Amino acid sequence: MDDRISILRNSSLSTIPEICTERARLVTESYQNYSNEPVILKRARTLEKILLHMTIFIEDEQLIAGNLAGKLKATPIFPEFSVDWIEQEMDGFEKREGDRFLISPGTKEELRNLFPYWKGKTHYDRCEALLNEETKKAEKTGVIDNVWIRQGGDGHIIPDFKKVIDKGLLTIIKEAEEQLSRLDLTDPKDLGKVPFLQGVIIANNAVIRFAHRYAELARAKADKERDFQRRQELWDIANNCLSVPANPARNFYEAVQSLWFIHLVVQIEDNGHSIGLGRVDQFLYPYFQKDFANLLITREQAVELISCFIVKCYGLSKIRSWHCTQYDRGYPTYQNLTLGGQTSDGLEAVNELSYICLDAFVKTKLPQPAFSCRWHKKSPWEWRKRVVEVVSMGLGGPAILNDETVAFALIGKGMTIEDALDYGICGCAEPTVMGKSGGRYGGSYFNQLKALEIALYGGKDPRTGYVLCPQEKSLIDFTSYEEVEDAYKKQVNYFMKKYSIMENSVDFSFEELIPNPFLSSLTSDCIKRGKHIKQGGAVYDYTGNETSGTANLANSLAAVKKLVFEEKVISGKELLYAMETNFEDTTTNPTGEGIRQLVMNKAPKFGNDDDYVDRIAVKMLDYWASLMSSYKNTRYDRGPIGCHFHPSTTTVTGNIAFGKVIGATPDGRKSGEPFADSSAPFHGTEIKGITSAIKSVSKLPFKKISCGGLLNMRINPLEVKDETQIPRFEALIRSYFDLGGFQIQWNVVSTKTLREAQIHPEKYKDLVVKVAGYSALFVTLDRKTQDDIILRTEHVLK
Amino acid sequence: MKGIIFNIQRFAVHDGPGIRTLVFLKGCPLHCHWCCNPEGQKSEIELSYVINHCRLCGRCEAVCDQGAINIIEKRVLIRRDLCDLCGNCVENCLSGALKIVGKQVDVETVLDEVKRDEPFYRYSGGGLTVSGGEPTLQNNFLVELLKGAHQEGFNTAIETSGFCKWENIESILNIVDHFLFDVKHVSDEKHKMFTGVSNKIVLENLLRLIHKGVNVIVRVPLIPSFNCDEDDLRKIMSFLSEFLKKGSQIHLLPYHRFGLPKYDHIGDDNKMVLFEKINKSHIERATQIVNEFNFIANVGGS
Ligand code: SF4
Ligand code: SF4
Repeated sequence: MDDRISILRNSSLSTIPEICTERARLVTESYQNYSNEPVILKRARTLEKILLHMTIFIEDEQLIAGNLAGKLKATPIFPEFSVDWIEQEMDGFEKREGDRFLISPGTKEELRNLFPYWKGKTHYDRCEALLNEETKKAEKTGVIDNVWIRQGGDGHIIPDFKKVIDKGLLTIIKEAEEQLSRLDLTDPKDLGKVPFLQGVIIANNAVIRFAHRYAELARAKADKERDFQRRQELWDIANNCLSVPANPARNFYEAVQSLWFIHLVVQIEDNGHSIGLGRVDQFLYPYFQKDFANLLITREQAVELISCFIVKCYGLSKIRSWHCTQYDRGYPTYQNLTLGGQTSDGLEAVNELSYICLDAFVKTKLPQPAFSCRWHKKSPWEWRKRVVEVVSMGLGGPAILNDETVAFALIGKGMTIEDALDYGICGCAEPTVMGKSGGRYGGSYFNQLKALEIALYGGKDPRTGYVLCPQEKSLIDFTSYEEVEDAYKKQVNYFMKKYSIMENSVDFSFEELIPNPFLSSLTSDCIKRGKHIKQGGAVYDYTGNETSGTANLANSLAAVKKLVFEEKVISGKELLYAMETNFEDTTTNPTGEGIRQLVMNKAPKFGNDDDYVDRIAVKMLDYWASLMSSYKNTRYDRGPIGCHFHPSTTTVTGNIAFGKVIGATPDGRKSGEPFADSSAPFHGTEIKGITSAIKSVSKLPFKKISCGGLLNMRINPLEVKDETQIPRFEALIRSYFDLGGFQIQWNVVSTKTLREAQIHPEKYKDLVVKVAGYSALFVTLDRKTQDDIILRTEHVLK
Repeated sequence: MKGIIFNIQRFAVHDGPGIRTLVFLKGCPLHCHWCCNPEGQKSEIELSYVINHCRLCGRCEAVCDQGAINIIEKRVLIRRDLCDLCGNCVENCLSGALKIVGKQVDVETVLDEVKRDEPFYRYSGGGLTVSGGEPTLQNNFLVELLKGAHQEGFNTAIETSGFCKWENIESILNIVDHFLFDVKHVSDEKHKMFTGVSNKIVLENLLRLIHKGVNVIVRVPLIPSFNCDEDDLRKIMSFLSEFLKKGSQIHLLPYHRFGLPKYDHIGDDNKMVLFEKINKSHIERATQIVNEFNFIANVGGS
């Protein structure tokens, strides 16, 4: 059994992702054929075309069937989203310093032939047309960025796996048919629903036929197979694919296969990443329990099957433009699997399958999917202990979530208590409800530190020279600290407006050009309302976000407040000049470097449990989060609950990309350097030990950060390897949660190991690290991201 | 009630149960050759200079009214005989290379800092550990501090060399949950040679403490060529086995040199004596001997 998983794992790990043109070709043909159809039907027909014609295969040893593109780990192309960047960059795909993709000359040739059709027709082109010059300029400053959603899909959702597994797609088709038959076609409102409901039927039938193709393939392979056991396995696969996802799953194995098909097809239909897997240990548990009780499956077999599933998830890959890759290093697909916590009626949810899934995580040691383990006040010690044990193994996970804070934040956003308690994670740390939340939990990036820089420069971006929101004063003539804060808020307000225009423009384009009939059919109440998600079909709907820079923002403001206005040891003019010259002018007194030392050493820093600066962090983040939550998305007033923006502190690797566009800042950070990641203190500034760092972070207003308050910490493995340290580690995390923490995840790896891995990547091929909310193989990351991870303060339990 | 401390370290996990806050009291009657906290030895505050952080800007030299600072050969030289510890240079050193080590504080201030980690004590069973220097040297301050912590409901521990009057120990008997008690050697001669004091009073205090039935954990620093030989360790263990219960924990604290640069920082002329580096076999052998005497060896402490 171990052999199977290691064979599958190794073959996936050793395969470099490759570009596959099949999907691009089929989509292009389909769009040409169905050019006169309503867009939703065109989308359904296109999905049908892909599913019926794409190459399918079943990997040797694999127990689960279903592939994304023509080869193992190959990545499909989604020309309907954008083609320009592919055309410009494809010659360099193989030469990238990180996130490389292979591409053959034939593939390039074929893509070049397909692209002319798409010119001017893509989602990207539409967004370009919708965004006005000023908004584009605002983006160029680097305060806001949403290129990734213009080039790619939105994703960030958990489809209703439970419904498919329990009831089958045929039930969904029936629901759509019934809904159709109930429509009064003389009512234009009802008439408008027809294409969507028809699309649902076409898409779901296509998925069933897709599964049947695998049944045939498995049967054909079985006929040729000589090994008795493998032949049996292929027969099982064939039977499974014949039965699910069309029908309700009859056993655990079928349930896992059904889950996989849905998870897969959603990512063929649309290229949005961050498709969450939901609370797998909950909706699969009845199947496991029944089979286990009837002696149809052993615990080991369950671990093996989940391991096969994990390897399948790991095999999904996605290519992004180089611009976007900088925000998303290490081939992430942001699949996330949630375990534990409590049930929607507040009872303990941890079960044997929760432990089985963790065992499979340990067995496979793969960076995708990410695992998120829920804890609550009454979580059993066994569960907490096991989670911490796994964390301490240094496999880049799992992340741990605090039910008390997460559910509170969701209730604050309008969710019912039952739904809030039933959250699962998608993306990095975004809590959502399976099958009910539409919208998208991932959104544009907001760079708080850049907004401050512009405010300090009097409204002018020193890099681009743009003055978008003019100010009367700059750091040279502010007369009080309050004026600094006010100027910052003014800039934030300005950019938030642009941000909302940008986000909603993108959503209008999605609605018009790229509705997803299949995904919508797996999200209630789309069928009932006869609307797809982007029209407001979902029960809940929020537009997420990724923000960054809180620690450096607070440190910078604290330095200005204390040194310029309170102690007056340096004037605003001197400080601004030092920033302009990147703390490098040696002719001033003190010298540029002297001023840098001053701001670094004589002003308090976030991460040391120092209320002076922590209060600033809290105040600023709270201001920004409240402001963000006040903006509406395009589904407002169209059905769903919510329909506002939804703040998070997840930076992904935006702290590196955004760092590049910010000059030197008053906290002593030099020009172009990365800033703090997510909710964490800035590296090297948290000098009082881990409890102080955790206390500072815990003060942040996480109950308002409903789209995820991620905290990345790094700890030396020597410190947790000893069994006696597990309870301490556990206590540390529990205390963070008592203090109101949202989520915490650990990199249990030493600086020494990481440095060694940089020198000898070949020896550390499977070293998994947490980058942001997701994990990646360390050696596949580019140097800058590697360095950023190394610089994150390594905590020791002294 | 005021005392002089030289550090508060939060999140300590090797000096008593759970997650702890360590408060270091300044001043120590011993001069152990391997001491890794030389700044804890003197009872008075001191000026410390960390050359690695210094940018040789000369600001300190310019502001010192006593003429105690000279920059010579790319480093700051402090005439400690002239320095009156006014702190001017520290204030003007932007890089944080100069610092005053040791600070007079009252019990409440220390307790406020200790309380900050209260949420972490709760689940881990941690609390306050008072260390040094030798904490009993500031006995009144120590008593008040421990009392205060106990009143807050925190677990308390003290790390002591045991070199003090019995009355000092007696005064804290009821307010200390764990005594982490150093036994460095049973040979008085060697003890004197390497720590500067006799071990008689230390061992006497240990015996009396154990008879009181309180929670004592013996800690043995493992110092090569001082007490790491089989013979030395056996002598220590055999001495302990006469009155320490079977199954008691013994913390073995392997010698390290991390404190070395600190001698330079505070201009301590009694430079640290460098012992041979400890290796795996030292530790394994020591563990084995501890186990032979039916104690439980815990390397590094916890
Ligand atoms: S002020 Fe500080 S940095 Fe400058 S020379 Fe003195 S010790 Fe060095
Ligand atoms: S503490 Fe005062 S006297 Fe001593 S070196 Fe510094 S400035 Fe001079």
